[in-house]
Amino acid sequence: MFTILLRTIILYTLVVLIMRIMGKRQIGELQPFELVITIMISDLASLPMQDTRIPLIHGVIPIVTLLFLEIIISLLQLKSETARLVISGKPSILINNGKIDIDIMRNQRLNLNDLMEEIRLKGYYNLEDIEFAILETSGQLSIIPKTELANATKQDLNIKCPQDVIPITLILDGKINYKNLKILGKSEKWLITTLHSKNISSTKEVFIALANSKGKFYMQTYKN
Amino acid sequence: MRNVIITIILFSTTVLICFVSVKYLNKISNNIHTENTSIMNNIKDGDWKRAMTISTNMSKDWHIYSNRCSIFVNHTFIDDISLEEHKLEAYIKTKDKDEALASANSIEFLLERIKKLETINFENLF
Repeated sequence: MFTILLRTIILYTLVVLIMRIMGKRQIGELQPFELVITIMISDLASLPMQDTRIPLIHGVIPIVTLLFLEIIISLLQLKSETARLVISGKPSILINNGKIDIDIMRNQRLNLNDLMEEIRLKGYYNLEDIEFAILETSGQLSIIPKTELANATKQDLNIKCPQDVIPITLILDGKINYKNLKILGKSEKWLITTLHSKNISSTKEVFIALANSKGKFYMQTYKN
Repeated sequence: MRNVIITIILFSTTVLICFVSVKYLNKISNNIHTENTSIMNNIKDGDWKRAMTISTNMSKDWHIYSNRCSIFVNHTFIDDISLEEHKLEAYIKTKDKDEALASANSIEFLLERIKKLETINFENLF
């Protein structure tokens, strides 16, 4: 019994490590080859987990081999356009210049209801509002609406505003993040003074404190 | 790039483990095969005492080998060989020639089977 428990811990750790090495792509939108590898890994890990007659290494070898293949294929895709085309395919334009391409719809075995559903999910309700709809290799649908129906941007309206920056966490769960404080170019003394000015005596009272995307100080205490 | 390097190291280690395990498996198979063959010859010659001595040695050797190769060989095969090996010892004790020879043959077959399963050939690949 304890063997199964320990095997599960080992295999879980291994699979998490492998997924981390495979990178963020593996947990986001999957390409066909990535989906295959993810399904295979989950199955391979569960077999030696349950069956103690199978040596753990019989699960580890294929998982590591799949990791190796995934990395090689990703590298190939990065370096070669042809490899990218063969492995991931190419995006299909379902709506071209405002008109549905029936042949491509048939090729992708996509019916009109599927297309309409995807379009609605993207926030468009009329087919005539769409100039281009592209079915990406990951299976996601990208939509380019007719220019006159697209949302107006600040640039369109000539509104000038400063560029937003990445929010930086300064205190999390009462603990000061000194690294982020250094990145922000501020000292601990500045942080304490800022907290005092808001009637906070200790960082331990703070649940979260950060410099937001506008560069302003924001905080929330546990009491809030 | 770091991920690529880690992957290459992991994969190379895996390939190395495969090589070492197959080599070890061949080595222990040959050792057990030699001992088993001499047990069979002694049984055929009616030298039960000598067969018993070799069988005890083989049992000791197998105990050490089985612990190590259980890391990379399906435990069912190891259990089957252990069982046959115990049977062989009992048949030698009772001087049952037919059963002892059958058990020795089984051990040989099982060892060959483990070795064959690790061979890269058309049959194993598909």
